[in-house]
Amino acid sequence: MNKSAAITEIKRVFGAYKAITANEDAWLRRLKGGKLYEMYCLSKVLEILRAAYGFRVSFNGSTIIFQSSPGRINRNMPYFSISSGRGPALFELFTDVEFETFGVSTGVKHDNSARHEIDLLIVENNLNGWPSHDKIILGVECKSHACFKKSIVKEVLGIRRELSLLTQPVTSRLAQNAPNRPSISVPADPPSEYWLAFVDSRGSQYRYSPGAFGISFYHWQP
Amino acid sequence: MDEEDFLEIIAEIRRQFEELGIAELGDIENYITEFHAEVDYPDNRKLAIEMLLAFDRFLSVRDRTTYNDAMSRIRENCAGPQYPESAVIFLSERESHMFHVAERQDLSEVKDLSEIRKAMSSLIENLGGMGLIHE
Repeated sequence: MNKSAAITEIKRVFGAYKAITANEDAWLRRLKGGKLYEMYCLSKVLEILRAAYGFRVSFNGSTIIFQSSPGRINRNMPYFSISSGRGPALFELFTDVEFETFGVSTGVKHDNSARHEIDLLIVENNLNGWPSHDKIILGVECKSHACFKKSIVKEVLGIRRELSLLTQPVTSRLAQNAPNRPSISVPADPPSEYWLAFVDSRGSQYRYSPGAFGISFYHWQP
Repeated sequence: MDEEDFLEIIAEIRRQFEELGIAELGDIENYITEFHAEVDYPDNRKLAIEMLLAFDRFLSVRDRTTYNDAMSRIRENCAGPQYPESAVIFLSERESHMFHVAERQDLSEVKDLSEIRKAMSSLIENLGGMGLIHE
């Protein structure tokens, strides 16, 4: 391929995308990209919960709902139940929910820092409203950025601090309750798991230091 | 093609990014590898291919194929008796009003970009980027 042919092909391919999405608002296109990646990550998380941890996952509702703005747990909305078998649910999985921070639990005043959103959140059973940091079993951040940014790492380090204290590694609450008893420990109290999923493989180049705080990195590209 | 040719190709890719409102994907800072104090700038061929790969990642999270794949995997891993039939985004009333779009956005309505992604893969391959794709 020579230069002219390459430029012609670039114009053709980009032009085809422009033609397909000509009537779509850029803001909405960006939102849909982020939420579609969240859905993709949800599918990977459910697969891991079933295959690696041995949980039984069931869905309550008929439509998976993502919110453009984060909110609280609303039990009238669809959600996933997670159990060890035929028994009652141990945990529940919600999308786009904010949790109340570790900082707030110390008794400080509430301001805009009192709650943070996590894209996919597994929490204790039967909760309503904003779950506190110690009710979190697993949080998953889903970053659809085509180019990974170091600011993402700083963001997840901050969220990890608001979930747990750094301690000696202990078995995670998710693993403690899993039928397959996977050997997964986290240096965290409370021992929640916290995962970062991303599209750009460069994200993996930032995994070691956050790993010391119990943040697991997953490169999931559709 | 030499480094000068690839410079022109990079300029064209960046022009296309700007027209799509995603000029940030053309920022060279995205493609620099940093390790300690060492900064590694890619050569022009590698930079052009990295930019096209970034566009492919951009497409991958907007593609109907990704929706179908995710929905199948979700249903396969649910034990029932209820299974998700669709996935939607709920916008706030204010967002809906501001952007003149419906409050309920069905994710199954994202476009099928599989042909465009195939063409992008061929283009990257023709520019000698196969090694990068599989790194």
